[in-house]
Amino acid sequence: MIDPLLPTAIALGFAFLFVAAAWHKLSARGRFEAILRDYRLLPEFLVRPIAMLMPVIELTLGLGWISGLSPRGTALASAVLLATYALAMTINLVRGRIYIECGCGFGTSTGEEQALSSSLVARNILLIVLALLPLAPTTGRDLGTFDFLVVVGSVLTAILLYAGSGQLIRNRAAIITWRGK
Amino acid sequence: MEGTMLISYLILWALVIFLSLLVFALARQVGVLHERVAPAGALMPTNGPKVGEMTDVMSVSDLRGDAVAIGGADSAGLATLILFISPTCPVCKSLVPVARSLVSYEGRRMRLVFASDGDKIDQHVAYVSDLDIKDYPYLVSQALGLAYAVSKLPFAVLIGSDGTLRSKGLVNSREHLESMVESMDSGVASLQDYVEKNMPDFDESIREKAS
Repeated sequence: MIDPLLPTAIALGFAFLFVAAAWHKLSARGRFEAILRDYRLLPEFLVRPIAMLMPVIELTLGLGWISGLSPRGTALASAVLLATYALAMTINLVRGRIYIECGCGFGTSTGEEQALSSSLVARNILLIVLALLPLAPTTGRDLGTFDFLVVVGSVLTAILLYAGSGQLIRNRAAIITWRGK
Repeated sequence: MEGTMLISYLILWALVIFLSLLVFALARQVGVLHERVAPAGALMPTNGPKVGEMTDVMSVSDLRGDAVAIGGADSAGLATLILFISPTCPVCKSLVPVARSLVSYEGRRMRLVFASDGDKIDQHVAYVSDLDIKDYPYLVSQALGLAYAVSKLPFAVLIGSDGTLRSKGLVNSREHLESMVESMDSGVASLQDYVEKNMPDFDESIREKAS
């Protein structure tokens, strides 16, 4: 049994994450297509349709989280999507293709795209756990005004820390390329 | 008591959000610093042939097996830009279109030659068709890379129409490539070279200011 505050905060956070990710991909469609091709996982004729489909799926999930319609389906689908991303990154890490861009740039971050790294896979696994958390039964406590303040505070903090950690992973990649290896 | 707890709670929240913002801003600043201090011109190694020296004529075979002469004075009066690339180098891929556009912009005074090494010919053939550079000579030769002391890719070498080495260096961006053409036109190998020739007391004046 978990407190209903937790799923609410997670839903709001994921709504923001997915809408931002979809926006990021839609605002640079050609770029995302090139990144997807560079992952070398899809046959050429599928790259373009999938590149169009991904942001649509993300947008749907984002709206699913915020609307609260079929919360179980949204949570499961999000976990599957995040797992797919993690798998795609892991395959390329195993292949040793670490210099391809991850294409997981977050709406708030600017500048260079991120190179692949195991930290990004770890981050995705953490996100999967968070996405599945709302499936746990809640205590059914009614949320008051004050609880919503806590929700907003936690989501804001989470977004800032997420963006900050993303930037640190990016910086680390930049330092590694400086060293030449 | 209730009121005190509430106030303390709200203040703690405000501090947590402020701290997160601070951490993000710090990380961002470090990132911006990394972008700013990246090298601005083509990074020129000190080993290998020197800029201004006459290059030796080398006959190198391209992917089709035709011999291409590299170095020495060009009979057509063209300068030669050799871009050393490799299928395994990710930055090269983005630099190839840049080199093509630069050479087409430079009109009729420059020809573009790609060079690589390695035994896997089919890999090179696939690379060439992937990058759509069939119209340019694509040399596969380890000797050429050794002759110009190519250590890191993408590496560019610019040979003047008279056969002298005009510029060379590790190139990562359009600016780096343009700096090489600029160096050929101005006859100045690098900023350090310019300072040495034209402002002999530059170092001293800086030292004086520092002391």
